[in-house]
Amino acid sequence: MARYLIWRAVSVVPTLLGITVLVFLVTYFIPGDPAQVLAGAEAPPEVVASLRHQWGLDQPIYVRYGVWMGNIARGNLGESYFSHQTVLRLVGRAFPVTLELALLALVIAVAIAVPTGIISAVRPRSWFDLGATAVGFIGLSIPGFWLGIMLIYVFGAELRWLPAGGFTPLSQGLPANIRSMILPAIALGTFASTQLMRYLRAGMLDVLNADYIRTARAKGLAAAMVLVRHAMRNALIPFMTVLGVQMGYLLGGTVITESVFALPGVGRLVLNAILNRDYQVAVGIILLIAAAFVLVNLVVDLLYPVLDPRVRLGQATSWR
Amino acid sequence: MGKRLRREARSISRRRLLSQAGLALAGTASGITPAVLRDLAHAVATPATGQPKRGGTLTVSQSVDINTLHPWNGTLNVWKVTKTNIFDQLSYQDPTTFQVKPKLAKSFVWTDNNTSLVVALPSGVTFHNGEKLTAEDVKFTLDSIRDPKVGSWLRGFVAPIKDVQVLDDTHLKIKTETIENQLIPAFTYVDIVPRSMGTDLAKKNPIGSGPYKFVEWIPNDHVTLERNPNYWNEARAGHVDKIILRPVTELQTRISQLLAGDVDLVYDFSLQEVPRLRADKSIAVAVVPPADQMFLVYLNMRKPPFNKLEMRQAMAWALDRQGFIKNFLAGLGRVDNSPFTPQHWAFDPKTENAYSYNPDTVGKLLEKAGYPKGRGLNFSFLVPSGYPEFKQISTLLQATFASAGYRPAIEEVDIAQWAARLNQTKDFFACVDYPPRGSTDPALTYSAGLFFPPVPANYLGLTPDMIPGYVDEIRKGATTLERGARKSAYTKVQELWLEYLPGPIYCHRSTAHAHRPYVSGFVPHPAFQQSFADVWLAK
Repeated sequence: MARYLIWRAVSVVPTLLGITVLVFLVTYFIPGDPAQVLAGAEAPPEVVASLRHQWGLDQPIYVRYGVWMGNIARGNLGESYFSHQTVLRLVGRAFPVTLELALLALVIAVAIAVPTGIISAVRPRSWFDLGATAVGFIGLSIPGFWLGIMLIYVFGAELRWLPAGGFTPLSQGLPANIRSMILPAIALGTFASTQLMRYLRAGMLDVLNADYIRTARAKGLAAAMVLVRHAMRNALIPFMTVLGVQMGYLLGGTVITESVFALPGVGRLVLNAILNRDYQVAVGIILLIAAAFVLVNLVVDLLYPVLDPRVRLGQATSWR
Repeated sequence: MGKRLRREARSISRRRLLSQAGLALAGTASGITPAVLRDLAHAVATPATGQPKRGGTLTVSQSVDINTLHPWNGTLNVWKVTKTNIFDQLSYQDPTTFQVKPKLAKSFVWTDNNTSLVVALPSGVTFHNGEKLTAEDVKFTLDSIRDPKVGSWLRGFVAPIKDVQVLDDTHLKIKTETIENQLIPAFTYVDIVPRSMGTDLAKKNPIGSGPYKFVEWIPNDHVTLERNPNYWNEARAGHVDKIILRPVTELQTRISQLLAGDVDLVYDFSLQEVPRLRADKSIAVAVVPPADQMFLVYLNMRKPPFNKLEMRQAMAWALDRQGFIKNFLAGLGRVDNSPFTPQHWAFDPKTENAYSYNPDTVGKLLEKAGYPKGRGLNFSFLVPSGYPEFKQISTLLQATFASAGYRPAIEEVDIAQWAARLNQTKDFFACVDYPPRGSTDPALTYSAGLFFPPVPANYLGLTPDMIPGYVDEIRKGATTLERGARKSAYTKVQELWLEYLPGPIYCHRSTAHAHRPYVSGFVPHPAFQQSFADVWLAK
């Protein structure tokens, strides 16, 4: 187990290193630069050149990459060309917003997906199953930004039950904070729930048709016992993988939701950084998101042996 | 009680009556639509209703976040709106008359045989950090902006300055070679900072002497300003205690926030939303008449096909301007061929109908240019994403050229790439934009920016010898104080422009803002040099 842990942890390093090179190269080759963005389209070229020099953007790519990697080694992800705040400070402020949004969205997604997926699988081709599938398709087809705008309009502008966008920090009280996050979490979680529900339904159907379930039923076990102890436990293994990947997507894919709801999260931060060519921030955040994505998947991989004894690598030889 | 209230609501002060009558006359003369006039009248009239109250928080929604705290480097309109309240400038443009007037300066006087501008400052002005503002600080500011190492886009605005001399704490002399009419309007953009701050201002919190102090900037969330209780000019001191400026990218979210009462004012939104918001009685809409921003097309004259006059003329005849204004600007624009509108003293009436929409003429000009039925023609429109009006104009132009035989491509890129291709690589053929400064002094309009003045960096590739007499007339207008001579010079400049047509101007656009009815005293600024000092909350 320890060897497996170390092997998985070490395997993350080349992945992240590759990401740094790739992201840095992309920022180098896309046209446009932050000096031009700050100085504006009207600025004479010498003004832009002066800003480029101040920021070291006139240095060759390998020098810039070397400096950046050196800074990372010292725990410094750099600072924004525009706000001059460090990347860590910017992310430190934005990440909790995104994390809260992603977690709430995941809770909503799981709360919808798990019961719906299980009932649909237990009663396939029933009215409930057909209805859930139809709603699922609609959920998958609705663009996230449209749903967000509709939620804001109905519950914010018309009914005035919830804030019409904007973020209330936790420092202003948990209820106010949660109120500001309900609509974005619903907008984000709805899409995720439809995917999870369909995945869980398919997984459960496979498991429910397996021989050992028939055996369990033949032994006379209660239906609930068969469902919870035998079917769900096995169906949840691939579901957990999807959940891990989904959490990664939710963390990295909140750009549209954050823009629609005016939330100061990481998605909006990275979008603005890319549009402004704020390389340090863009590259720093993408690296952090990639690291988070890789770590979430690492955690999921490590959970496999807990859920499924066959995956325990240390016992692999005894299976033969 | 109800009757009395209604009577009070209908009553009108002499000042308000005069201002509305003036607006009506100006509007009639300038061809502004009654709806625009009504909104402007509302905007102007707001300060006269009730006694201003102090206190409260004004929450303003803006379309994007600011991208710097450096007073002389940032060019975004949202930053202009923010910093105008933090800093003082020597002069300001009156938002209703568009005239440039002294602000921090008490007076401007040309002396030394018109080779020096003496600026008088008030005494007793302090910066937000408690330091006294003196002529040394103004000199430091102007010298810094002139320093190429600082990298300020305003450098060209103050280019005629040869030297700045401090006479005493409240007087300084700005040396030039002759009268330079661009300077006083240029000073509306120059934010005065304390010299103790140095020039590395992007990394520091802004310290100015304006009616509001900077508190914090949380990127993508808000900028907070608080009232400066020690503002030197009581008549222009702020009323609300706090201003929160929130960047909300999504337009529908911004409008919903206003309808929900989550924000008090939505600053600058799409004109197409104006009819919908006008219909909502819980919202007040303020529309700035079309005057400052002009829709035009940059044509790259460095290469074919726009090195040919006929092709540039074809572009001028190719847009259905009325149709564009009606369908895409909710009627809130004005067809123009000049940077100025009729209410501007420099407007030349002869420009009014110089070019209009005529697809047949486009076909004939293509033939004359050597591209019969569009054969051999090759050009495209470069469009920045996120600016729908640029794409709408490009699409209308594309359709006209398609009917003449050639369908130009529309290449959509992000704003950073757009600016780099326009400014650095000059890798474009035609490009729609809406540059500002149609409402200011023509000396600034024709001297600053990269469109009208024939400087090496000019987008169009315009050089001084391309239009005979053009530079001479610009200089004549910029270097005399006599209004008649100036008008004559700028008339000639406008006519020369239309004759050689380096870049066709199509129309002017309004800008629209909406607020809750209790927001009083809000007068929108045509050039986004927006002061919130007069705004107060009647709730």
